[in-house]
Amino acid sequence: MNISQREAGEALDAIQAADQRVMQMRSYRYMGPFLILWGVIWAIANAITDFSGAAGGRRAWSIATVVGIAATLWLVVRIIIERRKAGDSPACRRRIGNRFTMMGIAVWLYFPAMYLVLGPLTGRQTNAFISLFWAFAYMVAGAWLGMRLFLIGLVTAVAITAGFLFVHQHYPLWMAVFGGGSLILGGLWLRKI
Amino acid sequence: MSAGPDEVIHQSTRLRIVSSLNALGAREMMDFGQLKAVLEITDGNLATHLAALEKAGYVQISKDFVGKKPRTRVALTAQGRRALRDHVTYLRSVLEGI
Repeated sequence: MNISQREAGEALDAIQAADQRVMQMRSYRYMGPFLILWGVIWAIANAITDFSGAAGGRRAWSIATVVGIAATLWLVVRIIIERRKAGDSPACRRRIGNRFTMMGIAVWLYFPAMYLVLGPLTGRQTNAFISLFWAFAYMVAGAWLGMRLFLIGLVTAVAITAGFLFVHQHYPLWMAVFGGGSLILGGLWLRKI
Repeated sequence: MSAGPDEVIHQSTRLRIVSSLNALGAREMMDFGQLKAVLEITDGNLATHLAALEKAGYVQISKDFVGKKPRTRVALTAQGRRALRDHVTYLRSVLEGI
């Protein structure tokens, strides 16, 4: 059996493509629950803000953020345990852990830094600002991980911006339905592979 | 110079099957349906190629039930990982004209 240089190149490309496809599938499977979690939190906290006013909204967001972070950490630990059971090397698991840690640090530093730069924001601006950050983060992640994630970010960003520009009285409710809703549906779509 | 090509693995569908399974962890298995979705091929085509790979000792096929639903899962054996590694070494040597 003789293999030409062209055939060898095509075979190596096929190997790389198969590897990337499995990585994409795995990323989608792992990202789905995060999107559903934060979609639910987003929907509930925004709905409470719309129905109970600013004070109730602040309390709802404080509780929702703590619950969301705790649940996020639980999901991260679950992934690390699953990868250990799957037989990933300790170095590979460390890499996953380090990535999540660095991502967490970047996010926690970004928001206070931006608040310092932008000055005091209204509740409406804060809501749009934080939500847009995540929508665009999904788009950037999607550029590396796959089109589905990119589209989820794009739809969410459009919904947030359109609501900010055109919906005045019930903006939190708009965010609950379209912001939270797009994340929940997006998370379910990611898992459907 | 590396050893020659692996004729079982080099067939394009089998190469994609083995490469996909190689991306999993050492103790990880892939569901038949998931593998079919990844490769975008028919049940019959996948089953035929898996049988050839199993005969060569490159994959391990495990069948069980989840509740009342039958489940087929596939994993790459250590021999399969070695064979793919050697085949990739060979392909690189061809590409570099060694």
